[in-house]
Amino acid sequence: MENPSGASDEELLAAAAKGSERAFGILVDRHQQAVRAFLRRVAVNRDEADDLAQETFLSAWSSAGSFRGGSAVRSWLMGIAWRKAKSAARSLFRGMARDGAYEQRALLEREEGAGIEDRLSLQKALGGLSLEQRAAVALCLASDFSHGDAAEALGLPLGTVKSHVARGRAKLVEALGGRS
Amino acid sequence: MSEIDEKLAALFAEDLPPARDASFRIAVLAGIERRRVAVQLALLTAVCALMSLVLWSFAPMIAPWLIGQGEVIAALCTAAVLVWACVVAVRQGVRA
Repeated sequence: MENPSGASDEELLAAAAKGSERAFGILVDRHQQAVRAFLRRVAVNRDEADDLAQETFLSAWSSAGSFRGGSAVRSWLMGIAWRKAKSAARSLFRGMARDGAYEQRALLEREEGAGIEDRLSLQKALGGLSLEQRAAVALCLASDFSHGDAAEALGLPLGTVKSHVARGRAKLVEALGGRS
Repeated sequence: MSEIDEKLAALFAEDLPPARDASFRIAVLAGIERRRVAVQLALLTAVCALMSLVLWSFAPMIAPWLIGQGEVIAALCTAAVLVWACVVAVRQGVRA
């Protein structure tokens, strides 16, 4: 591959499957923000989310050859991230209350201003959603995934995703003091 | 998009990780390298174990021949080590 920076995701993944770390590095650069943002919303704890994101990319490297091109590379990565999050769910839920409080303190220390209360309310409301609801909300409301793409990434029926997004949105809107 | 949806989108956007993060990329690539080393180490260990088992199995047959050819084998081993050391020294000299 002569100019990996201009290559498509599929081409980069194919090169990675043949052992090109350079191509895979570019793929990491392109998608790390989306994968980490998704996992931060699902896992609550930033450090844990970033660890899961690293594991996600390691799994993607190992299974790059199994990508068949039926979906976008980003959806495929989100699918891996979602499976990692589900596997870690037990420890995530165990630490969620503690981490939620910690994240709130960290948020207060990091930032000040008018939006801080809304941020805290949003974080608290996200923490109150089920794991699947959080994942559906994170993809469809925060990452601009279509319901269909989210359903494919999460391995859930389309109707279930729509329902999770609607209920999750209603709870978030309520937490922000609005009406859905 | 309603006002509350805009507010939600804005709040989500505020909390994004950086678009470019060299440390994250390096951490992922380091993980790949660690995994590769672990696989190579496991493979090497398995090959060594297999070789040891084969040598141990054939030891009664090989031992008399080894004892008989001891001086020749020692000379060959010494020569091999010297050649290897010379190759390494030349390579390092070329690199420097």
